[in-house]
Amino acid sequence: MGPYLGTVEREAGGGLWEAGLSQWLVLSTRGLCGGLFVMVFALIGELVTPKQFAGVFSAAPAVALAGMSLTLLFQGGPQVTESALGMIAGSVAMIAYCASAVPLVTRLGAVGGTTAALGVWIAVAAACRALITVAG
Amino acid sequence: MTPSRKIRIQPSRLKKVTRRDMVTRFVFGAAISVVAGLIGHYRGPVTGGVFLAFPAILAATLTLIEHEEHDRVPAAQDARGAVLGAFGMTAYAACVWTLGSRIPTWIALVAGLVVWAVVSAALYFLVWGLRRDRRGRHRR
Repeated sequence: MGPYLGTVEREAGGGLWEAGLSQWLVLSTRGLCGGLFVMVFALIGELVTPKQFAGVFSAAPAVALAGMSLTLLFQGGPQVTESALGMIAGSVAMIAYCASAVPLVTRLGAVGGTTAALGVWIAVAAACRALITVAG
Repeated sequence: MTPSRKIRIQPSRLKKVTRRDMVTRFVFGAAISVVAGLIGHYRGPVTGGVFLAFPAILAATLTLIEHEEHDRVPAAQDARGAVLGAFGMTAYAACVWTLGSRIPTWIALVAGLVVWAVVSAALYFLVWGLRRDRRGRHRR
Protein backbone atom coordinates (compact mmCIF):
# COMPACT_ATOMS: atom_id res chain seq x y z
CA MET A 1 0.00 0.00 0.00
CA GLY A 2 1.33 3.48 0.82
CA PRO A 3 5.06 4.08 1.38
CA TYR A 4 6.45 5.08 4.75
CA LEU A 5 5.66 8.76 5.04
CA GLY A 6 8.98 9.76 6.54
CA THR A 7 10.94 8.02 3.80
CA VAL A 8 8.83 9.59 1.05
CA GLU A 9 9.43 13.06 2.44
CA ARG A 10 13.19 12.53 2.63
CA GLU A 11 13.48 10.99 -0.85
CA ALA A 12 11.42 13.79 -2.39
CA GLY A 13 13.90 16.23 -0.91
CA GLY A 14 11.18 17.62 1.25
CA GLY A 15 12.18 19.77 4.15
CA LEU A 16 13.62 18.06 7.22
CA TRP A 17 10.79 19.64 9.19
CA GLU A 18 8.15 17.93 7.04
CA ALA A 19 9.99 14.60 7.27
CA GLY A 20 10.22 14.95 11.04
CA LEU A 21 6.55 15.90 11.32
CA SER A 22 5.43 12.89 9.25
CA GLN A 23 7.57 10.57 11.34
CA TRP A 24 6.20 12.07 14.57
CA LEU A 25 2.67 11.69 13.24
CA VAL A 26 3.22 8.01 12.44
CA LEU A 27 4.88 7.35 15.80
CA SER A 28 2.13 9.19 17.67
CA THR A 29 -0.49 7.15 15.86
CA ARG A 30 1.38 3.94 16.74
CA GLY A 31 1.55 5.00 20.38
CA LEU A 32 -2.11 5.95 20.55
CA CYS A 33 -3.33 2.77 18.87
CA GLY A 34 -0.96 0.55 20.85
CA GLY A 35 -2.08 2.10 24.13
CA LEU A 36 -5.76 1.75 23.23
CA PHE A 37 -5.46 -1.88 22.12
CA VAL A 38 -3.57 -2.79 25.32
CA MET A 39 -6.26 -1.06 27.40
CA VAL A 40 -9.07 -2.94 25.62
CA PHE A 41 -7.49 -6.37 26.10
CA ALA A 42 -6.60 -5.53 29.70
CA LEU A 43 -10.23 -4.53 30.33
CA ILE A 44 -11.44 -7.84 28.88
CA GLY A 45 -9.02 -9.57 31.25
CA GLU A 46 -10.52 -7.63 34.17
CA LEU A 47 -14.03 -8.79 33.21
CA VAL A 48 -13.31 -12.51 33.33
CA THR A 49 -12.59 -14.92 36.18
CA PRO A 50 -10.78 -16.99 37.32
CA LYS A 51 -7.42 -15.20 37.36
CA GLN A 52 -5.74 -17.99 35.36
CA PHE A 53 -8.12 -17.42 32.45
CA ALA A 54 -7.81 -13.66 32.77
CA GLY A 55 -4.06 -14.15 32.46
CA VAL A 56 -4.57 -15.37 28.88
CA PHE A 57 -5.53 -11.81 27.95
CA SER A 58 -2.31 -10.52 29.50
CA ALA A 59 -0.53 -12.28 26.64
CA ALA A 60 -2.87 -11.03 23.94
CA PRO A 61 -1.24 -9.76 20.73
CA ALA A 62 -2.52 -6.23 21.41
CA VAL A 63 0.65 -4.32 20.53
CA ALA A 64 1.16 -6.56 17.50
CA LEU A 65 -2.36 -6.01 16.18
CA ALA A 66 -2.03 -2.25 16.52
CA GLY A 67 1.48 -2.16 15.09
CA MET A 68 0.82 -4.53 12.22
CA SER A 69 -2.41 -2.76 11.23
CA LEU A 70 -0.56 0.55 10.99
CA THR A 71 2.39 -1.07 9.21
CA LEU A 72 -0.09 -2.47 6.67
CA LEU A 73 -1.57 1.01 6.24
CA PHE A 74 1.70 2.93 5.98
CA GLN A 75 4.15 0.39 4.54
CA GLY A 76 2.26 -2.48 2.98
CA GLY A 77 1.81 -6.23 3.43
CA PRO A 78 5.38 -7.50 2.91
CA GLN A 79 6.63 -5.47 5.89
CA VAL A 80 3.90 -7.02 8.05
CA THR A 81 4.96 -10.53 7.04
CA GLU A 82 8.59 -9.76 7.86
CA SER A 83 7.66 -8.30 11.23
CA ALA A 84 5.61 -11.44 11.95
CA LEU A 85 8.79 -13.49 11.55
CA GLY A 86 10.48 -11.36 14.21
CA MET A 87 7.39 -11.64 16.36
CA ILE A 88 7.75 -15.42 16.43
CA ALA A 89 11.10 -14.89 18.17
CA GLY A 90 9.53 -12.40 20.59
CA SER A 91 6.64 -14.78 21.31
CA VAL A 92 8.97 -17.65 22.20
CA ALA A 93 10.68 -15.21 24.56
CA MET A 94 7.23 -14.29 25.90
CA ILE A 95 6.61 -17.96 26.84
CA ALA A 96 9.92 -17.97 28.73
CA TYR A 97 9.01 -14.64 30.35
CA CYS A 98 5.63 -15.83 31.59
CA ALA A 99 7.00 -19.15 32.82
CA SER A 100 9.81 -17.45 34.74
CA ALA A 101 7.48 -14.72 36.05
CA VAL A 102 5.52 -17.26 38.12
CA PRO A 103 8.36 -18.24 40.52
CA LEU A 104 10.01 -14.83 40.32
CA VAL A 105 6.85 -12.89 41.23
CA THR A 106 6.13 -15.33 44.06
CA ARG A 107 9.65 -14.85 45.41
CA LEU A 108 10.41 -11.20 44.63
CA GLY A 109 7.01 -9.54 44.34
CA ALA A 110 5.43 -8.12 41.17
CA VAL A 111 7.87 -5.29 40.46
CA GLY A 112 11.02 -7.26 41.27
CA GLY A 113 9.76 -10.44 39.64
CA THR A 114 8.59 -8.65 36.49
CA THR A 115 11.90 -6.87 36.13
CA ALA A 116 13.89 -10.07 36.60
CA ALA A 117 11.67 -11.91 34.11
CA LEU A 118 12.32 -9.13 31.59
CA GLY A 119 15.96 -10.17 31.61
CA VAL A 120 14.80 -13.65 30.58
CA TRP A 121 12.72 -12.15 27.75
CA ILE A 122 15.64 -10.11 26.45
CA ALA A 123 18.04 -13.08 26.51
CA VAL A 124 15.66 -15.50 24.80
CA ALA A 125 14.50 -12.90 22.25
CA ALA A 126 18.10 -12.07 21.33
CA ALA A 127 18.96 -15.76 20.93
CA CYS A 128 15.91 -16.44 18.75
CA ARG A 129 16.58 -13.32 16.65
CA ALA A 130 20.15 -14.51 16.11
CA LEU A 131 18.81 -17.93 15.06
CA ILE A 132 16.60 -16.24 12.45
CA THR A 133 19.63 -14.40 11.07
CA VAL A 134 21.65 -17.62 10.89
CA ALA A 135 18.77 -19.60 9.36
CA GLY A 136 17.87 -16.81 6.90
CA MET B 1 -15.22 -27.61 36.38
CA THR B 2 -15.15 -26.73 40.11
CA PRO B 3 -16.99 -23.45 40.98
CA SER B 4 -13.70 -21.62 41.53
CA ARG B 5 -12.49 -22.61 38.03
CA LYS B 6 -15.71 -21.77 36.14
CA ILE B 7 -15.11 -19.07 33.58
CA ARG B 8 -17.35 -16.11 34.26
CA ILE B 9 -17.79 -12.71 32.74
CA GLN B 10 -18.48 -10.22 35.50
CA PRO B 11 -19.16 -6.68 34.24
CA SER B 12 -19.41 -5.52 37.86
CA ARG B 13 -15.64 -6.00 38.17
CA LEU B 14 -15.18 -3.01 35.87
CA LYS B 15 -16.25 -0.77 38.78
CA LYS B 16 -13.03 -1.73 40.56
CA VAL B 17 -10.88 -0.58 37.64
CA THR B 18 -9.45 2.82 38.42
CA ARG B 19 -8.30 5.55 36.09
CA ARG B 20 -4.75 4.92 37.33
CA ASP B 21 -5.03 1.29 36.19
CA MET B 22 -6.09 2.30 32.71
CA VAL B 23 -3.53 5.08 32.38
CA THR B 24 -0.75 2.69 33.47
CA ARG B 25 -1.76 0.15 30.86
CA PHE B 26 -2.16 2.79 28.17
CA VAL B 27 1.31 4.16 28.89
CA PHE B 28 2.92 0.69 28.82
CA GLY B 29 1.17 -0.12 25.53
CA ALA B 30 1.92 3.24 23.93
CA ALA B 31 5.56 3.18 24.97
CA ILE B 32 6.29 -0.28 23.63
CA SER B 33 4.40 0.46 20.39
CA VAL B 34 6.54 3.54 19.78
CA VAL B 35 9.73 1.63 20.65
CA ALA B 36 8.77 -1.23 18.31
CA GLY B 37 8.05 1.28 15.55
CA LEU B 38 11.38 3.05 16.01
CA ILE B 39 13.34 -0.20 16.12
CA GLY B 40 11.50 -1.45 13.04
CA HIS B 41 12.34 1.77 11.20
CA TYR B 42 16.05 1.84 12.08
CA ARG B 43 16.88 -1.88 12.43
CA GLY B 44 14.44 -3.47 9.99
CA PRO B 45 10.97 -5.02 10.29
CA VAL B 46 12.18 -8.40 11.60
CA THR B 47 13.95 -6.87 14.60
CA GLY B 48 11.06 -4.47 15.13
CA GLY B 49 8.71 -7.44 15.04
CA VAL B 50 10.47 -9.00 18.04
CA PHE B 51 9.20 -6.11 20.18
CA LEU B 52 5.62 -6.64 19.04
CA ALA B 53 5.66 -9.56 21.49
CA PHE B 54 7.04 -7.51 24.37
CA PRO B 55 5.16 -8.37 27.58
CA ALA B 56 3.55 -4.93 27.92
CA ILE B 57 0.13 -5.98 29.23
CA LEU B 58 1.42 -8.58 31.65
CA ALA B 59 4.08 -6.35 33.21
CA ALA B 60 1.49 -3.64 33.89
CA THR B 61 -1.13 -6.11 35.11
CA LEU B 62 1.11 -7.94 37.56
CA THR B 63 2.26 -4.74 39.24
CA LEU B 64 -1.32 -3.46 39.48
CA ILE B 65 -2.62 -6.76 40.88
CA GLU B 66 -0.04 -6.87 43.64
CA HIS B 67 -0.51 -3.18 44.42
CA GLU B 68 -4.27 -3.56 44.78
CA GLU B 69 -4.53 -6.99 46.36
CA HIS B 70 -1.34 -6.78 48.45
CA ASP B 71 -0.84 -10.41 47.63
CA ARG B 72 1.51 -12.22 45.29
CA VAL B 73 -0.75 -15.23 44.73
CA PRO B 74 -3.22 -13.57 42.32
CA ALA B 75 -0.30 -12.09 40.37
CA ALA B 76 1.29 -15.54 40.06
CA GLN B 77 -2.05 -17.01 38.94
CA ASP B 78 -2.34 -14.35 36.25
CA ALA B 79 1.18 -15.16 35.06
CA ARG B 80 0.28 -18.88 34.82
CA GLY B 81 -2.62 -18.05 32.52
CA ALA B 82 -0.36 -15.78 30.51
CA VAL B 83 1.91 -18.76 29.68
CA LEU B 84 -0.99 -20.26 27.74
CA GLY B 85 -1.74 -16.94 26.08
CA ALA B 86 1.91 -16.72 25.06
CA PHE B 87 1.63 -20.04 23.22
CA GLY B 88 -1.39 -18.55 21.49
CA MET B 89 0.64 -15.45 20.64
CA THR B 90 3.31 -17.64 19.01
CA ALA B 91 0.56 -19.29 16.96
CA TYR B 92 -0.71 -15.80 15.97
CA ALA B 93 2.71 -14.73 14.74
CA ALA B 94 3.25 -18.00 12.85
CA CYS B 95 -0.20 -17.67 11.25
CA VAL B 96 0.45 -14.11 10.04
CA TRP B 97 3.94 -15.01 8.78
CA THR B 98 2.63 -18.06 6.91
CA LEU B 99 -0.54 -16.55 5.46
CA GLY B 100 0.56 -12.93 5.06
CA SER B 101 2.20 -13.53 1.69
CA ARG B 102 -0.58 -15.82 0.44
CA ILE B 103 -3.81 -13.98 1.25
CA PRO B 104 -4.73 -10.32 1.83
CA THR B 105 -2.74 -9.25 4.88
CA TRP B 106 -5.70 -7.88 6.79
CA ILE B 107 -7.40 -11.30 6.55
CA ALA B 108 -4.19 -12.90 7.82
CA LEU B 109 -4.28 -10.54 10.84
CA VAL B 110 -7.88 -11.46 11.62
CA ALA B 111 -7.12 -15.16 11.15
CA GLY B 112 -4.14 -14.77 13.47
CA LEU B 113 -6.33 -13.27 16.17
CA VAL B 114 -8.79 -16.16 15.87
CA VAL B 115 -5.90 -18.63 16.07
CA TRP B 116 -4.61 -16.89 19.23
CA ALA B 117 -8.03 -17.17 20.87
CA VAL B 118 -8.58 -20.82 19.88
CA VAL B 119 -5.09 -22.02 20.85
CA SER B 120 -5.09 -20.14 24.18
CA ALA B 121 -8.58 -21.34 25.13
CA ALA B 122 -7.85 -24.93 24.07
CA LEU B 123 -4.66 -24.98 26.15
CA TYR B 124 -6.51 -23.48 29.12
CA PHE B 125 -9.19 -26.16 29.10
CA LEU B 126 -6.59 -28.87 28.53
CA VAL B 127 -4.30 -27.75 31.37
CA TRP B 128 -6.89 -26.79 33.98
CA GLY B 129 -9.19 -29.66 32.98
CA LEU B 130 -6.33 -32.14 33.53
CA ARG B 131 -5.53 -30.56 36.91
CA ARG B 132 -9.18 -30.87 37.98
CA ASP B 133 -9.30 -34.53 36.94
CA ARG B 134 -6.06 -35.26 38.84
CA ARG B 135 -7.42 -33.57 41.97
CA GLY B 136 -10.65 -35.52 41.68
CA ARG B 137 -8.75 -38.83 41.48
CA HIS B 138 -6.66 -37.96 44.55
CA ARG B 139 -9.81 -37.26 46.60
CA ARG B 140 -11.22 -40.71 45.76
